[in-house]
Amino acid sequence: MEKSGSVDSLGSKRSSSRQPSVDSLSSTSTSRSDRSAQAKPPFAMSSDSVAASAELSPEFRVKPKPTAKQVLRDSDKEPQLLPNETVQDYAQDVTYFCPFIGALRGTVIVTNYRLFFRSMDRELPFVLDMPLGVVSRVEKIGSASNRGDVSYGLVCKDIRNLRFAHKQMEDTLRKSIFEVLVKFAFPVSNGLQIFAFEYGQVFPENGWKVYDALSEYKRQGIPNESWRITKVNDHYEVCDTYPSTLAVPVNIPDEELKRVAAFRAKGRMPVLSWIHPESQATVTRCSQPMVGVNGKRSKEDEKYLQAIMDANAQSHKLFIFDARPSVNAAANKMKGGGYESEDAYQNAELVFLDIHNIHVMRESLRKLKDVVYPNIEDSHWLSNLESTHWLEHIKLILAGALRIADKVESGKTSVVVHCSDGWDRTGQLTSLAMLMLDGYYRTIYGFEVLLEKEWLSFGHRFQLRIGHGDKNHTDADRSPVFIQFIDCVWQLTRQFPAAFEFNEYFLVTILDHLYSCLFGTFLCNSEQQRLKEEIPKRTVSVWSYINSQLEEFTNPLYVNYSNHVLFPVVSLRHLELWVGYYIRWNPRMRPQEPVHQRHKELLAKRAELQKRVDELQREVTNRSASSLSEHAGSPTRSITPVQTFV
Amino acid sequence: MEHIRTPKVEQVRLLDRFSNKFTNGTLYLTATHLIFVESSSNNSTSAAQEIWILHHHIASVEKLSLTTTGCPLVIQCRNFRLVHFVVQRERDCHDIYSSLLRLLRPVSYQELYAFSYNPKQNDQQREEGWQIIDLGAEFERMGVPCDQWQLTNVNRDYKVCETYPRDLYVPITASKPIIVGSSKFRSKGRFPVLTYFYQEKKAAVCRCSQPLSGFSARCLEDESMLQAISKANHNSRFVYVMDTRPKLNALANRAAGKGYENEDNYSNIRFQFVGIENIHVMRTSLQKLLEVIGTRSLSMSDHLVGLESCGWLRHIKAVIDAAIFLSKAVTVEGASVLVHCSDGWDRTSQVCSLGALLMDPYYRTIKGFMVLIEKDWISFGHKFADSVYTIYSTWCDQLDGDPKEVSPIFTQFLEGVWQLTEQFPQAFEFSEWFLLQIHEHVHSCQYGNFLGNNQRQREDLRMRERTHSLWAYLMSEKQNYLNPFYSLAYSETHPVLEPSTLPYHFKFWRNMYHQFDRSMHPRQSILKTEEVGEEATESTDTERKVEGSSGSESRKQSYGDVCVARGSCRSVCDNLLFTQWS
Repeated sequence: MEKSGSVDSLGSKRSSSRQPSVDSLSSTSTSRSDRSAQAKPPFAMSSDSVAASAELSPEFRVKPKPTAKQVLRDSDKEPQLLPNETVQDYAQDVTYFCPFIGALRGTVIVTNYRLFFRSMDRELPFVLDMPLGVVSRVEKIGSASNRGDVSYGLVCKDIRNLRFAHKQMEDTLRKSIFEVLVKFAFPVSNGLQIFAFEYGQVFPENGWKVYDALSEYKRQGIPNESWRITKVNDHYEVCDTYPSTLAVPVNIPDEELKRVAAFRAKGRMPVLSWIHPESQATVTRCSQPMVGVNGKRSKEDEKYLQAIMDANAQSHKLFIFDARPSVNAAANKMKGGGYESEDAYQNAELVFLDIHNIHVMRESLRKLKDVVYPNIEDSHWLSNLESTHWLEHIKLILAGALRIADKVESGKTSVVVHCSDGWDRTGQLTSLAMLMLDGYYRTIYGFEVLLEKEWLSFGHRFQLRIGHGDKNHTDADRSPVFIQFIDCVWQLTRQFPAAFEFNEYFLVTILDHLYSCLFGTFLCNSEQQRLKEEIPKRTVSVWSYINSQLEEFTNPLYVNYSNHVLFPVVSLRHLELWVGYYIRWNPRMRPQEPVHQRHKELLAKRAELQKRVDELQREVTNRSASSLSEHAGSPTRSITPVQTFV
Repeated sequence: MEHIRTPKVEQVRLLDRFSNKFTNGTLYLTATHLIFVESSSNNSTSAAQEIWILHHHIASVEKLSLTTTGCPLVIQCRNFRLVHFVVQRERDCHDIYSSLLRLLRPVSYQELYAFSYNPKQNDQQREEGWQIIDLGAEFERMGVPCDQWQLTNVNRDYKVCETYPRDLYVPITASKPIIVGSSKFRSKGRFPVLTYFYQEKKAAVCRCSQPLSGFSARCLEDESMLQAISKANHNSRFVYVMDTRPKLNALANRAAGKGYENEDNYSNIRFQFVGIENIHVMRTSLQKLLEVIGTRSLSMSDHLVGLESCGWLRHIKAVIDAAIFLSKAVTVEGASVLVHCSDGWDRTSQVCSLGALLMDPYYRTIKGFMVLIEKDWISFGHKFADSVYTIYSTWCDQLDGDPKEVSPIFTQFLEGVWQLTEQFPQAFEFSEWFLLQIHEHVHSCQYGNFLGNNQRQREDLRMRERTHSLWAYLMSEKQNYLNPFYSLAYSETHPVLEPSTLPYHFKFWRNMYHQFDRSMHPRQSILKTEEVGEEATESTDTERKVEGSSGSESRKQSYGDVCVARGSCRSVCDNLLFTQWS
């Protein structure tokens, strides 16, 4: 009885909540503005309202259907501004060329944070609401045509391009709205401040407290008899791209550490990332050794790697994973870098993982964008996808991480991971391996810790790779390394649907705010820079936003498999293109049903059932206590499995 | 049994399809199964693996030439299992090989597993099992008979059409002479009859086979039959006639005195070709697909390009496109539709059943899906016997006696449904596992449902008295097949599904084609989690919970592998593999 009742009530809620989106575009967009008015935290990345990535925007709330009058009034309104967000310019009669529905005329508002377009000439208002941070390039297309229109193209970092046009200004002195946009889209190039520094929203949770290096090492059991915490890099003197807190083998004094650092590119010596709680096998990361053409050696470095190996009593071997293809590694010798020779490092085995560099990855994503945006060629979909090699790169990264995890878990062997500088591919590999090895990182908090640790504190150069607020879109340092990592995580969640506490929306949100410049988390290149810029003091962390509304990001199927190591099958038969991210702007690609809402209902139901199980369990214990010892043992034991899964 | 020469062979090696790994074990040959039991000595942590292969599942056995390790025996099954044994002594291998060759080609129905399978039920339970699906009740649910449609007894004795069921629904105005006349003008006598009635718009979905029109032949009865169908629907002045074949094939059929309706002769029809390829193209396409995915070291590009070039997903798309056309015509335009292909039992069944699935939420429930298969496939005479196992191909007088009637038409239908469940995760009561289980038993010959080619054959064989019904078994296991995302409310708000047919929405169905390749399994299946979800639902039942341990114990067993894994050491992640699959 109870069961069907609850289904019904969920159902009725659902049907009313679905109403707006089904009925018309107008009500969809209204429900959106209602939502943003109501929801505490801002939703930074709204999509085209038609594309309204229904799957991933939490817009389906229980709302009475708005009347036509309300729609009108709402559409006159400006976007719901964030704290300290100010309107910079406003233009009417702008045409937006939507690749999916065609040309739309309307008004554009540019603030110091977003671009807001609302169409006027249709009965159904269309809304485009986008943070300026995603803009990679603004280009004027052609000169003034005979009709006197000026056209602008916006190339975005999140796999879409936008095109606008407006009439040639009669007053030639007045700046076009898109010139204003350029100014605020690239604040860094224009001597302005990134919006994150102005945005002062207060959230119930403080995301800057999520990660503390010492407590994370403590969670792993460090310091212990073979590993210690060193303060040698306290002022970032030994390595300015490393965090201040490092874990190193006990028997290597700080002085020797400095000499090891001198032998490694950018001073990034091998330090601990993760230690196996039972076997003491470790994952350590570093940059390439400065071997050079002459095959230089460093006694300290050799001794140091020996110490890493000795710290693990289980194995008399050490695996060095060089993420690069061996050809590239050899080529690096010309620039003074290189790889460990097996003569110099006894008991070490070097393995190349054949992952390509940032330039190859950038090119691959560019091709992918060409294939998926705006239109998809139906007849050659799979072969076009193949020609981008994107999935092949994903496969190589996952395969590399799997080998690392396997060596640590099954081989009980310590591993050293590096690429050239040890901040791109190395971060991908160590963090993915840790995700496979340690269930803690598969929780929401744990994943935040993992990102803070392996990516942010170890100096993945977010500023350079993403180019926040920088107009130099051809910068060769830009690369989708982090996106690739999140893609790999998504692939893992597909294979282990119940092993991750977070859902797809969580991953998409992280990627959206990677670009949005609303939060300070992904600004700057290293911990040192972040400290200098006082990022934690002056900006808000994206984790504050996420942790204040966890129910949006929780996977209802999550079962705590914390003691499991995940070994994904890295077969191309399992890898898929992440449509929910790469093709989300295409309304035809949108999933037919927003599962997001259903997930939340399931979560609520699960909580309710858990409560009931607890109650019943209490009842059972009471009964069995009163009804003598005959069955005393069995009920409690029998409950265990149920409890486990609920 | 007299055909078994060697019931047991020891020291047999089972090779993994995609790696160099292998396991040693013992091979047993029984009257119904080939069983491989892994020798338990090598690892004690997990239970010895057992593989049971039903003889009826075996599509081909191949003995390869002798190697240093022994004699290889490759067995390809109809449920896409492929096993590769190496038997040490050639004589043993040959014995098994020749026994299997005999066993997998039963000469009479009596040899089929269904006639010896006994799930410990008495006659009454068996009868009840058969009564779960009642097609009369199904037509009543649709609102038939009504003022425009009636039950006709013209086929009571299978005189008019022997591949049709006894009970047929036709328009009120279609008199017996019209029916008989029409049936004579249709291939195999399969005249137009009702298969689905869309009550809301009073629109009907009818099915038949191609007309014997040749280049110019006409049949007045057939024309008035279509007229009657058209008149039964007041919402629309015309009736759609969907020929599911490509136009070229239909044209070619004209030379053989068959063909398609001429719009000039039939008043009020709109004729439409849909372009689904024939069974031979489908069979070849599937073979190519299996070749591609069976390649051992497949590169990403080979995989994607191979998937595209084999055309399998394109064919699935064509079938779904046709179903969408049907569903739109009925639900949006309110027009009646007549569907046919050549004989009206392959493509027609696919399109009618998928179309109904899109239109009616009832068919998306577990019970409703069984009804749908029973109605559009079993009762309307999809030739399961021919298309899934070759044994009685002598009965079939088609294609100059060519026994090549085997075709994955039903598999394709199930895959179409699966593709829809991927697009509409909340719309279906059942999970992928349910589809896989049906696919398994279509080929297993363990239950009577799919034996024989049509109702008449099944009645002659007294199937209901001598075999059991699959539906009863699936119903008793319903808990295992529930989809946790299923939402009743969604079905109410979205009675009609409108799938997208963009290329991306057609994915490779890994769990169908790699179901038995352990190394290809995801380490954690959503199915597992679904069961867990159901656990949660179950535990609301106060009585069961409190009464104690027996239920929970058995549950514990079924989730044992997970529990064991939790308790024991970390590295046995493999235990998460849902072992009941193999």
